[in-house]
Amino acid sequence: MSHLLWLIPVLPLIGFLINGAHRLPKTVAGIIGCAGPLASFGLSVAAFLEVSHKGRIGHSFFSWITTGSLHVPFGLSVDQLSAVMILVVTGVGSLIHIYSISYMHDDEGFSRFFAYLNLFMFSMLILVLGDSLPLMFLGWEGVGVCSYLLIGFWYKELKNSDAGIKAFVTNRIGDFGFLLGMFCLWQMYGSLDFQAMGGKPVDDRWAYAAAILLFLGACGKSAQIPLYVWLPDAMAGPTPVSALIHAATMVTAGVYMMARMNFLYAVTPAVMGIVVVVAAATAFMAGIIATAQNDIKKVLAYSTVSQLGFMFAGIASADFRTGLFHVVTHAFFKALLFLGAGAVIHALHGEQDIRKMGGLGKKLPGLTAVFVAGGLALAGLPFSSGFYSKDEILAAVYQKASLPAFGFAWLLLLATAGITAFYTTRLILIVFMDKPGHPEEHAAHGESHEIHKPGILMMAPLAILAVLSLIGGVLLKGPLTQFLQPVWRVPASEISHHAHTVNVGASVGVFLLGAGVAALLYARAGGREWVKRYVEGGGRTLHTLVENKFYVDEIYQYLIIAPVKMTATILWFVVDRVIIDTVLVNGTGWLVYGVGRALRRTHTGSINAGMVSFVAGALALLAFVAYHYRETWIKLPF
Amino acid sequence: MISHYLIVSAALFAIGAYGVLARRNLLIILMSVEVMLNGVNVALLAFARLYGQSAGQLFVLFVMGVAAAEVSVGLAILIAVFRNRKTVDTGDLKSLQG
Repeated sequence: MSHLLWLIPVLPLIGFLINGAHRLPKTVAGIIGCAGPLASFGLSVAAFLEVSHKGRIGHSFFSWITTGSLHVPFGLSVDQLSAVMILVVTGVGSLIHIYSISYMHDDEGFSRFFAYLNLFMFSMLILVLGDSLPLMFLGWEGVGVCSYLLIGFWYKELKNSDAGIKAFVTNRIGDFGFLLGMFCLWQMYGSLDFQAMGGKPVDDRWAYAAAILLFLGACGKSAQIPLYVWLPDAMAGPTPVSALIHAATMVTAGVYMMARMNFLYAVTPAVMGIVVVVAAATAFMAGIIATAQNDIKKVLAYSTVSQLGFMFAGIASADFRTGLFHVVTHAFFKALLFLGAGAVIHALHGEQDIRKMGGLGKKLPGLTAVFVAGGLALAGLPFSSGFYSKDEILAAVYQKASLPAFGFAWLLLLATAGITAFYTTRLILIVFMDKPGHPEEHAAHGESHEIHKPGILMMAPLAILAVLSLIGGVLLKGPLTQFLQPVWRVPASEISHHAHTVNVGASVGVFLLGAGVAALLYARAGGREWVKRYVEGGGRTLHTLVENKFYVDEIYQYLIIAPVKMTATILWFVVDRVIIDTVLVNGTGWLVYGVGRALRRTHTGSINAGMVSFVAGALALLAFVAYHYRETWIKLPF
Repeated sequence: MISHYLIVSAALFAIGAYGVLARRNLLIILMSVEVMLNGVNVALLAFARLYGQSAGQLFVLFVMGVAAAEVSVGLAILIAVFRNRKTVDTGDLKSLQG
């Protein structure tokens, strides 16, 4: 199996090459687009089975970079960690590909869409399977490019391509951190191979620098403070893209990378303190923002940022499996929610504003059922997948709560869990419930606009994901913990019975609280009236602040983008236009021209004048030489 | 005694130089160049005699040979100029003016 590993990423690449070069009929293009990921999924299952029997498998295919003492082979490997990741990437990815056939059916860029999706699968699989940091970085950049291409997929609208550029540029900042972190590791270990780096002793200064810089890289890719601003804008892309790249797979790459580097993070506890605070603050802030958004995809986008914060908190607790567990369950329910939201948007002919929705529960009962399943898993309904993984993270952070950073983070995360339940319930009630008090108004609305019912290609993936969202947590919790055990170079401390009890109680409590408050406010006409009055009256300032995302984009605009633009303008005008273009480039020309113009007067064309200057010059030269060598004048004898 | 020869030589050279600079007829200028060359020849011969070395006399023979070649080329150019421009007056030949 190990020598066939290259097929896992290359199969989708073949799909990219075919669909990228030809505009085939939509049916053929769709089949080709789905065949690669599905075949990869099959191979991933085979690889997973082999890993579960034999442990890590890997193969070095050819020498990629050899320069000086740096030697990077193109090696792919599957261990327990990457086995889980490739199953998620190819499994959820395949479902989203199938869904896209139906979702994108009327789009003129159909084969281009599948080409990009397949290229993304290739890059993501290289990222996961690469057995050294440079190879991971290749995939890391590849997924960034695909993200850019897919966010700006409908590039004819300026807003969409702007969002793509924002995502790309924000990610570059993180990538810069990733690169510098890689240099630090090279300085310290003299190798960038995961296997080789693992066992070696560390030098504290380099280790801390590398850990911080790699976390900065993760912040960019996985949308943490201060680099999270691109992810909500990334919703400009088609909804399957939001599901695949900006919820289920690519944005979890940062979590995967930090889990992969667990041997480094386990010996840099101070960095973990920073990570947990950043993660909890991100989770809390994004959760708050999600409560006041009215675009169905924006709510889910901020929810994704918030849940990514949970994953990083799990990583920061040094109990890495909890972060990974949440990556897996989140992939199930968030992909489901995005695809469900896509189905809703599709059904309502492109409407994304939840204030204009309502009453979909009666019209689309199947879709409602699966969406509610995903929503409950996100909200943390006891015994759903999201409940288990979130609870594990809370318990792991609680375990370390004697450290102030972790204690603070635990409180924030617990509050965020409640907020999550609140905004999820709010979203579901507003979208699917009849508007309380006005059922007849919506019935009339529904008749005037025919609703698109999602077809089997859309509903089948949703159903599979719904089942996984509900029971995935129970099924995977124990096996995943055991399975991942060999990956961690530093054993995690067992979660105590006390921590477990406290956190299960707290999780159930905040879920009931959040969902209950949302139900009180949004399920009854009186509640909605109260919200309306509050938003227009006493809570107006607060609501505006939250609805406008705490004005973070505007603050960045003034503090960072404007100064950078100003500097660029000054450099452009003063250095480029004035100094280089005017003084140096045109100045040289003007100087030569001026001198030539002046000397031109001496060219009279008169032979006699020329001769006079020639003779005068010769005499002057002669006089100079004669004077200079006056010591050697010959005395004539007579 | 050598100074007499040198005075003659310098005088010939100066006369020739004056002719080159002051006259405007190309033919006269060419002739003046010949006079300058001969002024130099006289100086060469005088020094060859003074130091008793034949190299100076040999140089003079070379100068005469080269001068003959130069004159033939110069006259050919002169005739060509005259055929084209119907004049050999340097005051009228100013097409190289910048």
